[in-house]
Amino acid sequence: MNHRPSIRFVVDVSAAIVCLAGSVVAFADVRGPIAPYIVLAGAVLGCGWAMTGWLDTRDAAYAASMTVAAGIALIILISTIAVELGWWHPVIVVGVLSVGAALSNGGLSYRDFTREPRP
Amino acid sequence: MNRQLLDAVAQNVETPAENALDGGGGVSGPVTAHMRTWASPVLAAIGVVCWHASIGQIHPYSTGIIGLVSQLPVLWWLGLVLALVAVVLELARDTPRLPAMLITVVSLALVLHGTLSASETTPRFDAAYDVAGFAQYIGQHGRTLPYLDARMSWPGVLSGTGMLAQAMHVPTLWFVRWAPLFMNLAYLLPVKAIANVSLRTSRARWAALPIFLVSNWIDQDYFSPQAVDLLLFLTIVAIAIRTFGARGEQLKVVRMLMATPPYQAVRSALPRLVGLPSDAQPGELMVDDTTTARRAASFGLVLLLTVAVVVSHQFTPLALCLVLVGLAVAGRTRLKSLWLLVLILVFAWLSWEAEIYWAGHLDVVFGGVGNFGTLLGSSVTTRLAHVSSARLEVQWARLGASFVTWLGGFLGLWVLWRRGRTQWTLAILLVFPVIVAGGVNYGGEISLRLLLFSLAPCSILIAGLLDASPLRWPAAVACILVVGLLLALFPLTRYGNEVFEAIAPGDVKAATWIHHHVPVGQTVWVVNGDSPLDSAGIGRYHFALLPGPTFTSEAAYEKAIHSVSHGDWIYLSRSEGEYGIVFQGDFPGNWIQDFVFWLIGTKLVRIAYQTSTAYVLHVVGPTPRTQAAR
Repeated sequence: MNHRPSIRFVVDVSAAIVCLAGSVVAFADVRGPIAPYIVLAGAVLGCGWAMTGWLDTRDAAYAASMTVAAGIALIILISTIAVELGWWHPVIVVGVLSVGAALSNGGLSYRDFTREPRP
Repeated sequence: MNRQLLDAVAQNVETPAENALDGGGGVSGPVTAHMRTWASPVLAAIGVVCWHASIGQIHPYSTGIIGLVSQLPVLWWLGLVLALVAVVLELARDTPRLPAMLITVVSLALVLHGTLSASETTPRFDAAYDVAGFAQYIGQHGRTLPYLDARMSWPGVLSGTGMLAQAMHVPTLWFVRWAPLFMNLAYLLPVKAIANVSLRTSRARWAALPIFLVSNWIDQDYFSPQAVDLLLFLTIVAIAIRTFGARGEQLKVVRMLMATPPYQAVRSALPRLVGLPSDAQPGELMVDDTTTARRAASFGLVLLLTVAVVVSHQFTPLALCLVLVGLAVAGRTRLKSLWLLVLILVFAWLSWEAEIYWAGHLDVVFGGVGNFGTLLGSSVTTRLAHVSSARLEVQWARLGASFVTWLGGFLGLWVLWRRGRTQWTLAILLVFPVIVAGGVNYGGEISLRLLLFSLAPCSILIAGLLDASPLRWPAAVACILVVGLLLALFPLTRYGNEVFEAIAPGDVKAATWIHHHVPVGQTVWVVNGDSPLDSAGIGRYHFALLPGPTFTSEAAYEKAIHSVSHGDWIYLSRSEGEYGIVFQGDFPGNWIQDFVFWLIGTKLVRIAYQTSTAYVLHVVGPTPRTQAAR
């Protein structure tokens, strides 16, 4: 495995772990100085990477830009829909989103671990 | 060698260190090599240590009329200089190293944009408290209050924040204090993504980041929908010109227009007139090798971002629409109809959620159509009117910084064109959002918002002055001058409003007391609204402004309390007092105290709660209104 996929793999695994941790913290109502950061990282960065990681973008700045923006946009869109529908369950929504993102990031991890090194 | 360089440029491969400022990589010994390796990160780290040590010496709640400038200690300046030297040392390499650039740029961001957050123990800026309050309300109740405030009609960021805050088990104010630093760091990502396809050398691409940090004094990066939307806006633009980039594939109708003799005549004459080559090639690079599936997924991402922009802010979608029109017309993106989709979404949202605002405020929204110059002019002149001479220094510094930023941007455009590379994408990004000023009446902040949209392209274009290998010194010196000027003005432009934008802990404590003690449905009077009162309790009280415009005499006091009723509450704070002094005329320095003493003297009020900087007064005596009724 060459240098670039290995970095991607580390990012994939980290994102999956953060998403899982974020969903646990949200569902279990864990309080503490670090807890909000874990939920935030899982909901924004984890969900963002779960969507944009599949695009295989090579430019780190471009990939990071899309990841952050996608994560924020997803939260904005889903929360707006929740407000419009009158179905407001923030913990459930963020927790489920994070679990879904963890699954997607798990899939990314598997793909980047098993595929051939890129030229 | 020239051929190799051309090939490297064509393939977007960063050129090897050659003719660098550091002598092309020659190392005289291991000590020098170590110094060269570690100098920039170590200097950046020392700079951050100095900056951190200086924070305790800054007293943001007792600043003068020009803000924090007089408060900044020597250590702070030392920290800034070290962070800057670290950035410059790293940029002196032909190919700056990623980890070192990250360290140095983050340290510079910390010094420039983290100072206010670090030195102020409570979040700053009343507008950020408003946003946090709206988000808190949506987070707790799951619904908006569109009749309360226009911002509630574009609740995207507010509902997103409310949802996250509930899931994180924190109040929405949690997001506010460090938001400017994090927003600035986040902006750097799309700025770098756009710079990577606009400029050729690694040095210039990286240089755009510190230039962006230095030029962003605008204070529109506080926790707010427009700050978040700017990030989404820049990312959409990055995707449109990268994954869907085109180098001059104009629409058919545009190509037909371009083939007409008048256009050809202008095209050949105009460049010569301003000393530009007429055979310049598109400067945008095509770098993203992508598949149809990835393009489809990227388009889905663009749609997601676009919808998020539309539901979050009034102004940004229009700027996005105009930029996309410009990119489509100039053939800089293959998303030629995306602007139409944005427009449809904007009107769909106006008709659906923002109908309450739209129906009653058509004149407000479109009343200024065509009054382009008037709107911009009034936006600027209102900021220069009714302010003291000391205060004018800040305002003029801000105007000067805006001018220098734009000048630098156009200079970069001109220099790059002279080198044979047009930068239509950046030119469109720079100019097109300004057109919004001719179509929408956005109030006094329109010029700030427009400048905010121009910052990213200006930063990249100013960095374009360094975009040559080897460096061309006249352009490099121009770049240094522009950045030096922006940097010299930065403490005045960025921290100049702190005298009233800093919200003291005492102000927040008094506001919190109101939220805990004032019964639902009561009226809370304020003198100008520059307060943190909206951070909670949205919809619980009726907030009202005491009629001004001055609080300088007993007659003015009597006029101010004319509408107050028995049982009402009055909130008076340091930030309101300072705002009055700066923007509301010739108020005496201690006018809040004078007003309080007068109110107590009339036995109209009693002090219900008091901190070192704020008063909560309860109206208990007979008011002018009740006396008149008797």
